[in-house]
Amino acid sequence: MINQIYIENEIKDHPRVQRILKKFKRKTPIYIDKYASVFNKKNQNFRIQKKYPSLILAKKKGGHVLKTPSDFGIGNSNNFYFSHMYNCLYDCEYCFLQGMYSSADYVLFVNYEDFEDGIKEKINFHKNERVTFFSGYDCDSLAFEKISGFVSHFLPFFKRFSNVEIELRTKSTQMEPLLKMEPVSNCIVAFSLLPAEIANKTDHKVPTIKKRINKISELALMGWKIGLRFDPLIHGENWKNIYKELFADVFKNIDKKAIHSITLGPLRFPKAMFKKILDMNPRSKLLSDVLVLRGNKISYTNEIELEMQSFCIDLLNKHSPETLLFSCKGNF
Amino acid sequence: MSNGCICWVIALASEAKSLIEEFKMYLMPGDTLFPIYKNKNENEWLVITGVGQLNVASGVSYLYSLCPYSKTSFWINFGIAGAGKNVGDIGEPFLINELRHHDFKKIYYPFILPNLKLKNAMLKTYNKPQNNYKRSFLFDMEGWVFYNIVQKKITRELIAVVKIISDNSPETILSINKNFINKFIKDKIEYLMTLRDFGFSLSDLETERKKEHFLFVDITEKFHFTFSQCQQLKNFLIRWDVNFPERSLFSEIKDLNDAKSILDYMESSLKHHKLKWE
Repeated sequence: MINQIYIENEIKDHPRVQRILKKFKRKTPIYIDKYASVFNKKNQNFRIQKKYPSLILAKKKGGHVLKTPSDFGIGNSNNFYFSHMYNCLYDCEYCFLQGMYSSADYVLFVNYEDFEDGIKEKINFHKNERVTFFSGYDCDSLAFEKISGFVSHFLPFFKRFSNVEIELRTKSTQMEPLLKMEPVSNCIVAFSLLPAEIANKTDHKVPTIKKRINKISELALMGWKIGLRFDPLIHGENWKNIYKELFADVFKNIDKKAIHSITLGPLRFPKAMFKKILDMNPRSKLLSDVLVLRGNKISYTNEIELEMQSFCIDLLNKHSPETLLFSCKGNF
Repeated sequence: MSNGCICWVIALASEAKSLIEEFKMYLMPGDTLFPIYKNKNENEWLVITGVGQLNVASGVSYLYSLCPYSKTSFWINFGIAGAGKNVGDIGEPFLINELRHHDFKKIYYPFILPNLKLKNAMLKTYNKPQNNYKRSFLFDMEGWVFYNIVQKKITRELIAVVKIISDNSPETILSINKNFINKFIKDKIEYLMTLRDFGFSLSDLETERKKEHFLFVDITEKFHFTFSQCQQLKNFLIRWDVNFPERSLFSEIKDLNDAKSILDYMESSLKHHKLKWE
């Protein structure tokens, strides 16, 4: 449910804006000079906005494509991400976006062609190398598809570049554009997963794990390449059993041949954002656990992190080839 | 009952009269800088500031310092405003979604409260009364200044500016008087009731988020805690509640006799606890 729509004056006549506005016929948009006059101002309450988010349609100027953190990747050495949107429909207690912005409003950058230019520039620079582009870093790649048309627009574009992979990271089960098209061989549809017992408590407004697994299974059967993202790994009583059950459930339902990659990542928050996140969710069970400062991140102790990582790797290796497995150390 | 609080900021006594009666507020006794009204539960406050920017600025600051819940209150600037002929009819209420000032470039976009049956409009604040009714917005002498001050003190989602059109032509301005204002505000009180209910619920959320743990005062009154120990205690108390909802902290620490041993005990208990997800 969108509370209000703001539109940057510069793009008010953009065809994508006009198309989006048709979906919100009862809303009267407010025209603004720049999205920053509404978004991420001081003294905004992320939690209240999360209940009543507005949509801001804007033009991204510069920084369309950025390098990922050094340990973020799925096999290629050239990794970039791009964010056509800030913020997410979902509300997950471990999400760094809560601390990144003081606004929960959705900013949708409609100048997709400028992102394409940025992507082409990187592709040309790394002509004979393998490159991976990640979307879904600052938002969910598919959850807003009905409004943004992001996947429908970008998949045909990426299809043209054989040395390139695009990862769509999602928790959504709204797969309409993917179900309507032939699988794109250089696209990885990557799903974030965690044990249902945990997800029920931490992932708000998100499709259940069962629904996510069913959807992955459907896509896998269609021939889409699947990414499994067990990130973050969350600790607690009985964690070994519940992860064991999750992995068993996943591999029982998903055609192994469809799995492109599996990644594991520890629970981590940038130090600078953690206080803000805790301040907004003081009664979060997840945040009430023993988390320690390690370098510039807040996380479980090294001991817990290593134990979880090695236990999960051992289990996953039993289900799938080792070469598919990547772990993210979670540096910022 | 809501734990929230509402702070009304209103320029004229005639604009406030209906609200004071409807919400059963009474004038605070004593020598106050501005007339201040509050209800019996002290969760609804109202200041009559007088017309103009200086008055509203001083009035807001005064109420902010007086109301014990001002930091988590929902703040409403309510009053009459002029408007362009085409903006709306006399007596029509508007929730302001854009605030401009004649002399300043800064534009504010207040949080839009959902599900209110109020039309939205832009408001421009001037230094002097205006009589140009060809404009496409509302105009007043306080709104922008009110917002400019309050947004520095509290979260923006807890601020609203609501105006009722009092004049939209040179002829209509002649009929503005106390009784006229009072009448058309009374007619629109239901809109303000809805806004107020919503304000209470948002303020309640903020109060809940910021409230101190009920044991914090008891413990810190009994033992001396340094500033950093206080911060640690606050953190541990919340975590204790989340992790051990059925354990009585007070009885567990009754034999401990200094801040350090209390904190050590809590830390050790929390450290050895494993979250139960099922």
